[in-house]
Amino acid sequence: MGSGKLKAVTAVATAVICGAAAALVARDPRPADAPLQPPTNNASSPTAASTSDPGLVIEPSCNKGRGAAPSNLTAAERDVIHQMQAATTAAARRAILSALPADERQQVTAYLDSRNRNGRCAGGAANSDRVEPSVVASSGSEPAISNTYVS
Amino acid sequence: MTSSRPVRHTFHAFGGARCEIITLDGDADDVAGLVDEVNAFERRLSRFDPRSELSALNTSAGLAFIPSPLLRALLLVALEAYELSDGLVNAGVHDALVDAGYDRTFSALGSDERAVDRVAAAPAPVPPLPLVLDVGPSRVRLAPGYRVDLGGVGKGWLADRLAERFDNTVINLGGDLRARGDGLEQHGWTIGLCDGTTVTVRDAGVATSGTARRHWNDGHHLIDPRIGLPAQTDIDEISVVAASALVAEVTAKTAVILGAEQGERWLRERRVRTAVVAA
Repeated sequence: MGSGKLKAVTAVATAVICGAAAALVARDPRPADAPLQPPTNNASSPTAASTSDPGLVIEPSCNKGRGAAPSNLTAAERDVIHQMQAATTAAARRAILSALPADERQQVTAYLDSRNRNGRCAGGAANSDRVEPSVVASSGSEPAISNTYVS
Repeated sequence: MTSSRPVRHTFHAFGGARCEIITLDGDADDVAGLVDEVNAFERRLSRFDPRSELSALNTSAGLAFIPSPLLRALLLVALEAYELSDGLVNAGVHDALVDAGYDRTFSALGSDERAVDRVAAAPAPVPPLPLVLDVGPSRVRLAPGYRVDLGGVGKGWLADRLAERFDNTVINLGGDLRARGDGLEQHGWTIGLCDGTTVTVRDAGVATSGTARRHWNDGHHLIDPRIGLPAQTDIDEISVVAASALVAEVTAKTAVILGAEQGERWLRERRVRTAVVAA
């Protein structure tokens, strides 16, 4: 086979292989944040999802999504979240949460908090928390209702 | 669920820390529910309990880990605290804390002599948290060989979240405190600071940090990540008033680690309303 024909066959074969690979990638049902390597060892932790390269370089989280994946929530928790988002008063939110056990109340609260934060790279907690505190009087001498202290 | 009389309840959590809930717009059942949540939070995120979710992450050896929303939220908060504190509040100090002898709840630690021996172990700077902790939308990954401790941010975050359940309340979790509303006398909540003065607030977080407690022999629990050892500081205690308990907690810890001179300058550059240093 002449070099011209060899090049042509190689090009066609490359195009076929690349096309097939692209089609497979396009059909990959894994979520975008799934690990590149498939799970090979689930023994060390009940929630461990894949093995990792010991030399793994972990990039900062700046470009990652902020909202926790709804799949990490139970159906009951998701339902409560919808109700919480519609509630307009603290009393209403308390009443909604009271239907859940304590741990699930924490999960819902944490999920909503993560959603509400703007993102670390845009200021994160610091943005919402940098609002000035509402201080009525400093260095007063009246009796304290509660005390801060080193715990 | 509005009561004209305040509901006040004290209890202990987080290894024996005194906690207090006061509310004028909730009832005893509401408060009991919050106590249950504090206990649930501690069960999930205690580094001392090998069955906790945090312990599972700390032993995940670099594997991708599917966290609960709570753990994920606190890991994000830890990353934010790292930035807010210019790297000085670093959840990656876990092993340095253990090396310093803080390897069990403080109430169980006592004045164990081996704390001093372990401080002598070779210290090393703690790597930047964003380099060892990756928090994705549904999975997190902790670099192999690293563990995290969420004790530096957990109480403040939780006080903020629980306080949001009421319009007029004080949530005090071991001194990390969030106050909201007009208080008992309609002019805000009066909070005692570490130097004996008070501050009256309508919506603020107040926290105190220092080396006066949670210390043992020559060690204490505030690790300076730059050296991987308990901070050499000339601040005994500092109280900070900020917009949230989380920011107050992180800011107070940062100031203690920096020491009086640098800490005062650092605080001036932040929008921290009040800080009190007791030398």
